[in-house]
Amino acid sequence: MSSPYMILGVPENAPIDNVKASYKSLLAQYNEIENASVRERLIREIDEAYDSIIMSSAPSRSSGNYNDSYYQDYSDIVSRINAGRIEDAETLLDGIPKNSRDAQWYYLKGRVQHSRGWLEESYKNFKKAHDKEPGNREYKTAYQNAAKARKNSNSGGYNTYNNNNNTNSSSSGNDSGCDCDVCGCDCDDCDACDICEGFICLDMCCDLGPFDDCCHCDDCC
Amino acid sequence: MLGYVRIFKPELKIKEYEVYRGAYCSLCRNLGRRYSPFAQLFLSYDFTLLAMFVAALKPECSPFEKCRCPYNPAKKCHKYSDKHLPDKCADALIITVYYKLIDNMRDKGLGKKIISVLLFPYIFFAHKKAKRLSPDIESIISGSMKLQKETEENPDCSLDEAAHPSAKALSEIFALFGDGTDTDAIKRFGYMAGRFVYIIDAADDIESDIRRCNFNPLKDIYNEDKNLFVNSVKQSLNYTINEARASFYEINIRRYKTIFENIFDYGLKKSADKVLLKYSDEKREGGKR
Repeated sequence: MSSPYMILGVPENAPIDNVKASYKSLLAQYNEIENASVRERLIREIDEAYDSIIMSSAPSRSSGNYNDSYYQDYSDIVSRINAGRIEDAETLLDGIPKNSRDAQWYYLKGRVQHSRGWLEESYKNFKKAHDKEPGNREYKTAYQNAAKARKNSNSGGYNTYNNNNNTNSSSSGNDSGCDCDVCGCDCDDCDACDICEGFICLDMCCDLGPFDDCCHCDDCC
Repeated sequence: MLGYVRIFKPELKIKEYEVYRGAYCSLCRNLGRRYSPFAQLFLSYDFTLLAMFVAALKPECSPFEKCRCPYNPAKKCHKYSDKHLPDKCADALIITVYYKLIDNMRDKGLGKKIISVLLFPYIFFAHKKAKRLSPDIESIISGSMKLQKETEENPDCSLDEAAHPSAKALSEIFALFGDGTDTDAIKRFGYMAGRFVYIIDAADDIESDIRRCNFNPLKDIYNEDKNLFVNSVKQSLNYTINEARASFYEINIRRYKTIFENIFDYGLKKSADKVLLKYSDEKREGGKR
């Protein structure tokens, strides 16, 4: 088994910057390869070699001076997230020691978790990132989007015409409506709603008739 | 058993409702033919959604035929002309019910336990058949059950982690029906659907789980403050619904879009509200229970 340094074409115990540069150039080279299986195998090899070098260098660096934290540049992690390589990005993120984790760490962790579908954790991390760096617009947007999506179940995708019709108060979150399955009337003052399961409600809600004055609620019936 | 992923009838057009019922009736007939009429007892709305989703992804339109309900001859219904369309959905239903019954026999109270024990012999043999017909679905679901058990060994695990196995299982089942071009979006949609069902089920069962010392990721927050619990669950569900909707629009869905929109915009919210109303302090005065 060749050593990771050999796979990346750098001398043993070369400095991290040389390793990174060599990885980037090999990656660019291998991305040109047409044969998909060969390309993927080679890229996987250099990925594993790069990761093992980075992981093994972490403990020795983390005991040093934190001003010189070895992952000031998160570009590798960002590029992996953008390429959809979520597990790799997360492994790298988790390799960063707890006391070196800044706002960007929490933001990227949030993105990784959001990609995986772990919405609660991603919301918490976006919030942390925003709290640590309130001025950063990227973190603020991520946090606000998540907060908005949690507040109201109608804020994803585009709103359909139904939302503008207001035939029932779907966005108010108020549960005081009757649970009649036929008219879905949300009005709790409407007398007909009390016998809603019957035919009278059908007449009322589907076809405004002599009862249309009884209802106090503007939204239903 | 009926399911949490439902339509909201008042906001559906009649033709949309007929389509939905058609999917439901097709699944029912398929269960009866592929397994036996007894299997039809386990029909649920969640799997009707899956059947509709399968039909929605197909490049060619799946036409309906008129028929009559074998149990209520006075009722006219529709069924898919392609009677094999809901095949895999039926298999997935039987396999899911099998594992759910095992779970009930282990965790739930006496009433549910007795019912589960009575139903189990039939399901055991039906499951054997389902396993043979759809080994891919069996491996997905059994794998997820195993992962769920391991996850639940840690009582402090987060809601996301607890929901992950069943969400992942559903995402993989949904992905079986894609044509390869929008698999990521389909997977995410399935993931969010599975996540929604897990969270709402956990919220529904919180009180009995606490009483029986069963695992439930919402225990801590429920014990802390009921209103906080209701609020927090509502927010988690809203976020999940929004993400489901967002990923749905990235799928190349060829038909029934408005029915799915009805489910996102009204149906899921109504299920959530119904479950959470039990715990909310503001119960309705008079009017409906």
